[in-house]
Amino acid sequence: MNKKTKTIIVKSIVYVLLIALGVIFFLPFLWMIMTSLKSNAEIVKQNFFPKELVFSNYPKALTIMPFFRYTMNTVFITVMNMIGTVLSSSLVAYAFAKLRWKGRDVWFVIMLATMMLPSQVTQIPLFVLYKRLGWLNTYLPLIVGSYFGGGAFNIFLLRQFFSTLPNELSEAARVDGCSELGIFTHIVLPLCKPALATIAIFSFMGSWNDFFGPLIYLTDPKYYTIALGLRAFRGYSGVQWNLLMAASIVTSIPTLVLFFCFQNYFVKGITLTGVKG
Amino acid sequence: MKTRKKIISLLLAGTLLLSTILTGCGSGDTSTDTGTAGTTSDSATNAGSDAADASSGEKVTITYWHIFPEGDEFKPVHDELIRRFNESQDQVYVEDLGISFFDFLDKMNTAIPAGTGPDVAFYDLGESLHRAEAGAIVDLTPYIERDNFDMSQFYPWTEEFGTYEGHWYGLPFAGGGRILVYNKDMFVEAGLDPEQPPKTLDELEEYADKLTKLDENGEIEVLGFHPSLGNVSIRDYVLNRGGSFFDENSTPTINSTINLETLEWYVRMTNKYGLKQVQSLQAASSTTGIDPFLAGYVAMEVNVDDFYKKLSESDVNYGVALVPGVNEGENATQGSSFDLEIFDHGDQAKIDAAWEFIKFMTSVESQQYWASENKWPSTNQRAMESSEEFQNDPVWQVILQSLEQTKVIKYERTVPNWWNLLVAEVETAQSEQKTPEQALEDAQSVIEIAIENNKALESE
Amino acid sequence: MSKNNSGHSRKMQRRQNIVGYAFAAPWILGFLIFTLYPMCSSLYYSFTSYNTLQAPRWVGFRNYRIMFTSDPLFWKCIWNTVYYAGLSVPLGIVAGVLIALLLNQKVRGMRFFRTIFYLPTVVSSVAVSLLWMWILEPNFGLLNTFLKKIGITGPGWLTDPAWSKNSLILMSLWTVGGGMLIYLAALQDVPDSLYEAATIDGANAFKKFFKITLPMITPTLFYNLITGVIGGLQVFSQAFIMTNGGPSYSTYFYGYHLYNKAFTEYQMGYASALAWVLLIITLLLSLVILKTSNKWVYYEGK
Repeated sequence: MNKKTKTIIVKSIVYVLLIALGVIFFLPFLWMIMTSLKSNAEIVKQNFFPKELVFSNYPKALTIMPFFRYTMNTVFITVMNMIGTVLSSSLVAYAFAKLRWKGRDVWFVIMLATMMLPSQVTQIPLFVLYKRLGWLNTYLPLIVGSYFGGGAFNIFLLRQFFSTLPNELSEAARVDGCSELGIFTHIVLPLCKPALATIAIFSFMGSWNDFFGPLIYLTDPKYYTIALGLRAFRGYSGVQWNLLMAASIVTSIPTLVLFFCFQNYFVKGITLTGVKG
Repeated sequence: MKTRKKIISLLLAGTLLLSTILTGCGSGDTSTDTGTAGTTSDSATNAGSDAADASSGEKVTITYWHIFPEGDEFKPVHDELIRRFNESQDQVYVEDLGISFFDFLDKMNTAIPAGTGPDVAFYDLGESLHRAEAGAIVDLTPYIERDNFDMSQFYPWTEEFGTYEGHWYGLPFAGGGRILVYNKDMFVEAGLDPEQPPKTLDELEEYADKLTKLDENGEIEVLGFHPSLGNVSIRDYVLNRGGSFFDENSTPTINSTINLETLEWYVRMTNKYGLKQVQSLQAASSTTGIDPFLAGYVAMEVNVDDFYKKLSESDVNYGVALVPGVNEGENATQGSSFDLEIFDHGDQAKIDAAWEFIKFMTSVESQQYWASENKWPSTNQRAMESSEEFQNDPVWQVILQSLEQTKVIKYERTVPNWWNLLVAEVETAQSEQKTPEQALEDAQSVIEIAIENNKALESE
Repeated sequence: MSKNNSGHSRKMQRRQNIVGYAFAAPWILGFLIFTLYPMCSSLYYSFTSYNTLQAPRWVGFRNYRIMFTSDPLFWKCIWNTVYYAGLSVPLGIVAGVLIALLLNQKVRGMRFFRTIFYLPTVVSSVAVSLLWMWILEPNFGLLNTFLKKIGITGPGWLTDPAWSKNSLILMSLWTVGGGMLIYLAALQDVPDSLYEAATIDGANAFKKFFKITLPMITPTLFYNLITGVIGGLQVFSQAFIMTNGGPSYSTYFYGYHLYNKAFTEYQMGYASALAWVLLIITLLLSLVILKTSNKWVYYEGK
């Protein structure tokens, strides 16, 4: 067997796997699309394909609540959080991964521990804390946290990525008289673009889909977000599935577009292969 | 918008601060300017205060949280009631906020302990005792007496489970009992008279046998009846037979003879057609709102009264009847009711205003409008019985009869979650891991242990 | 070592401490301002009887005592949770790595496929839950209808206590998209030069994976193991939406018990005690993983 046929065989296997698994993974979205096009009468039947396509569900779903306002609110929160999380979590992660300071390991274990306490038991005291700060019914409880480290999960993840970087590069820069921040911004960050992109996507998804925070902290509908607005379709007497799905599809498009675009960071760059190893 | 600018400036200041403290490559200059950040954080104020003065000067503004958010199908009618009240008033202004039903408790459970809850909330009458006991909600009895407010306009069963040592803590809003819905076309197909729904459990079973349809492979295509499909539980069947789960002293009576008879019937009906796993359909319908009756999988189903709205919007040729019992005329099911409760924030003017508001909302006129427009029965008996519309509509007639026979289950403060504990055991009986007798014995002892634990947890 | 030298290194150390704390400052400040108080509050509640509406009342270790001695659901939910986490975490890691490897292949249209594989993560969790209920419905559901066609009688996936936990684990694999993304990012960090060298040495694909790829992504495996354990032990929402903890408590997880105690029975004191016991269990597990990590996690920088 020559090399060319071998490559073709490998590629075919890859495609077969991709398509087979892809079908399974695409199923939920297809189901959402089908559901979003069903009429009220047909929604109760559990068949996959609708008999008639009701495209009017889309305008209906998007006008039933002030969708534009919700979208603007959500975009604001999400963008603020993305910026904050990427900035602050990378700083903190760098301290945990590459800097040697007294108490580092203890702080690290404390940070892990903060993830281990179920939020149900801290929810009320945290709420009281924000109340005392006068932050209820503002976006501050939803945003400020991302400027203070951006969450233990993100810091931990970036720490793991930073840890894989060889020390020689930063040592060399240090000898050249570079400050730690200089090493961080000019050497570490550019090398960890895939990780930063991951953090950015996680942060985006987290804020974009979060309904619990807005639910608890906002009491004025004009500040509402999309995720919170969508909850209205799941009411006391059941779920308006067709409208919910129509609205969900429209609102998940930004995440998908973002993911699609950010993929450049998941494709091996020339810079990476050059410097590392 | 104002707040948003403040937030931006705060965050910009913060970022600036960070970037000036930690300098970049080569530059040794570390001058910092912390002044900006300090002042901005102080001015991050509560945005809610803008809205507070929306109403005119002298009026008392009260907040009201309910379960009808923007986009909810019941919201327009509910909004109209609030609008009517605000229009009728020169003393009180109500500011409302709708929160999705499934999120309502989460919102309340944080806001109330923190003291930031609303003045009036749309809640569950049966559980008002929990909040009453903790002193969170206002005892309405003095106001009822002061205004000679007639509590007998509500169904008598609301008093049975909605009062605490003779005191009212909430005014009943909408609610209801249960009815049997059946598919008339399927009746005709099975050779049954579509105008003669079953009147007893024996008839129900006989009809169910006839209505159950198998496909060519012997698989079930249409199920005649299943005791847990729809919106119904073994509680309804126990109440229907005159049984109970606790006696007057709150001692559990789970393993009583009536309960055992009920469970035996329940398990038999569950497994009759070899369709053991039908519970998942029920679980699906309760979380997803996809109803097996409307979907055409079941010919007869017990559902709650507010199902009328969905029935009226569906293309099923339906009929309704009272839920059959062992003997003809025994049609009791479990009743429930929402209510409006007033939270005590220490401001008497607001409590007085809130009282006026909840009186208006639960009045005969408001409740008639509510029930008629939303097809969701009221627990205000006078509202239901004094309207010609309800008297002349055959579906409403059945609902009215069911509401009259409705029974209730009281809140058990020593073991509020007894139902979950019982369900787990009922499930073992349904899946035939245990005999019904064993399941009820076990449930009895599990609930007794829970009561002991809870008493130990709460004792001084 | 001369006196001058040690003074210099002490100064160096102090400088390093300052720089370290300066970088970590955002999180440390955030922890002190926003996290410490709620955590301490819940620790305090765990020694009280607290129904959230009235002031907490000190009861000492009573909540803890009752939990370990006479709460019949406590041990049941521990077993359910350990079973769930014990299977879903390793399976999730293996599935995530395999899919990431697949998506790291250089073939046309990969962007598109990656987006598809990420889809389940984007779809709202309620919709995913409903979809699964629809697939796993034992009588009319997609999976059992399919199994019936090939002559197998499918089980009651969510309604049979023997299957319900496994079904939820199966479901959790559907949303490996998040983990997959992390591995994908990690795979980008593996230097091509290593593969090239291995190719010259005549290593086959399997050898390359076990000798190069796997060691190089151990830091992210470590991350997913720790966060997987943390998340797995707190599992709650799927059971809450889909099974209500049933049938017969087979999907009644620790997080569910805690939620019930906190917000159904309003025993926040007891719920807090549950939470702190969970924290200690998780912390012990994490420390064990942390200690053993020296043996299997490969940090190039160290």
